[in-house]
Amino acid sequence: MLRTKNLLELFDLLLKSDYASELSRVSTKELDAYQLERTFYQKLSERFTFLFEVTSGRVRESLEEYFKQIEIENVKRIIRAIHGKEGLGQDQLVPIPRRFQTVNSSALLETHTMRQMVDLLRETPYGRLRNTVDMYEQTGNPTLFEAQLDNIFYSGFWETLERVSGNSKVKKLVGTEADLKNLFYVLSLKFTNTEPEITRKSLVNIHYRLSKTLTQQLIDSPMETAPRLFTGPPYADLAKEAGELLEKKSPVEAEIAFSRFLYSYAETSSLRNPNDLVYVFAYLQLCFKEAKNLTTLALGKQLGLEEERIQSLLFL
Amino acid sequence: MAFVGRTTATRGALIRLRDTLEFIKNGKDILKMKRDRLAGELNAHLTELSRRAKLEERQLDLYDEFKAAVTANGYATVSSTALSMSKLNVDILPTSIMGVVVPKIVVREKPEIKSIRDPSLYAVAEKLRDSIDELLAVAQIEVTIERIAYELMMINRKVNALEKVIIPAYMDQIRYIEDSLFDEDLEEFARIKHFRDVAGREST
Repeated sequence: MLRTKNLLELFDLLLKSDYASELSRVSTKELDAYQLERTFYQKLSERFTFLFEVTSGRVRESLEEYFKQIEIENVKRIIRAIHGKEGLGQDQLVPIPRRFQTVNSSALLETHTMRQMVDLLRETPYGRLRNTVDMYEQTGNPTLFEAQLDNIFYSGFWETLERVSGNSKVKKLVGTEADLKNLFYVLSLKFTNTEPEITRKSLVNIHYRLSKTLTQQLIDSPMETAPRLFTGPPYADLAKEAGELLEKKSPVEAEIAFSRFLYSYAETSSLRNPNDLVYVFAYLQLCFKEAKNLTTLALGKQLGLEEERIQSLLFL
Repeated sequence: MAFVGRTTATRGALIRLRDTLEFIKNGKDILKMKRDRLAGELNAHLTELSRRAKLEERQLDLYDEFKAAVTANGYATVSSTALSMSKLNVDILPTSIMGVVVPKIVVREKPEIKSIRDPSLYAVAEKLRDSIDELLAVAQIEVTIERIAYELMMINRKVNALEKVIIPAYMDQIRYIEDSLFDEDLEEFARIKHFRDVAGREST
């Protein structure tokens, strides 16, 4: 796929893959990376829903809770559009089967203010967003809602996971994911000179191996010294690498370093535990990785990026 | 002669034509002065335009960075993030340089990028936002140069028309009237002299 000359060649290769049935509906005349990206995420959504069909009880509940991150991504997109006073279409959201939606996305798309949107979400799992409206109105910063949504996702999922037997390895995987998210936010918000108060509010409330105290110290220390606060594994090397990349003004590479860490951890978990529940969650993580990699390939080809450059942006 | 029109060869017409010619010559001089001043302005702006090459180079680097950020984050995320940003708000004030109206761009409000959570998109957006002033300044210089150059072309045409067609036509007409009046004077002088001779002979 990397060696293909253009998007059309990549499309031909994808027609021989798992994506064939969805992509065969795409006309080559109207082919663009955006359409492909939508198809990749539609497939991801289908992979989740397939698992719902073959599982039951608490495992299914936890999978449904994990699936909410896709719906949350849609809510975030609607929030951004409302903040920018722009319209958004249903086609700009990740397709989710109706029976797995907990929000009425069509009604949300019709709202014009944050208060209207939050009112519509009152009886949904995202009702807690109303606590953020006042602060949003004071600061005019919509990322506060995004942070609150991340918190709702992780706390909801963590709660569901507690009720599932044999959850320790899944907790380890999702806990690592939450830690990485927090570490990434602390370093990247430092990079964007965000006020420490906003950074604190942007963090996920799950602290697995990245303690709350260390996170606070990271927030309060300058960018240059922050990675030195780590004394050992598992995040010391990653924090050092990301810190250096951000200092070198290479944020794309820093983001990729975080994603690579997470996906390699998921891959190891799936290989080591083929008969454990964690295998399912690791598989879903790797499905995300596949969707992101394919999107990178499609966009890279469409934008005419060099093969080496695209390769550097992939999570291989 | 079409510019001058049909005139009778009278002293009054000659005075009127001389006045008009004087007025046209003054107008031509003023146009020349305006041309020199505009040429000076044009030269000053042309030296400023050398910024464009550097700007283009920077923008191309920035565009490469942007392409990498889009590729890494996905089109949907980038377009959604872009929706959350406020719009660029500018005022375009018309200002006059020797009667040539050129726009002056005043940035009222730059796009607000604090709604961007992703550092790679933030970094590109910040650089793009910082380049807005330079882009607008170069655009303003280009429009100014374009409008001054157009005005210079029009002034040159007018000066050429005055120098090569209108003024010579007036001068020809004046010369014609002067010649006609001189002939008339000479004729009058000869006639008077003839009458005087005839009257002198009769008295003797």
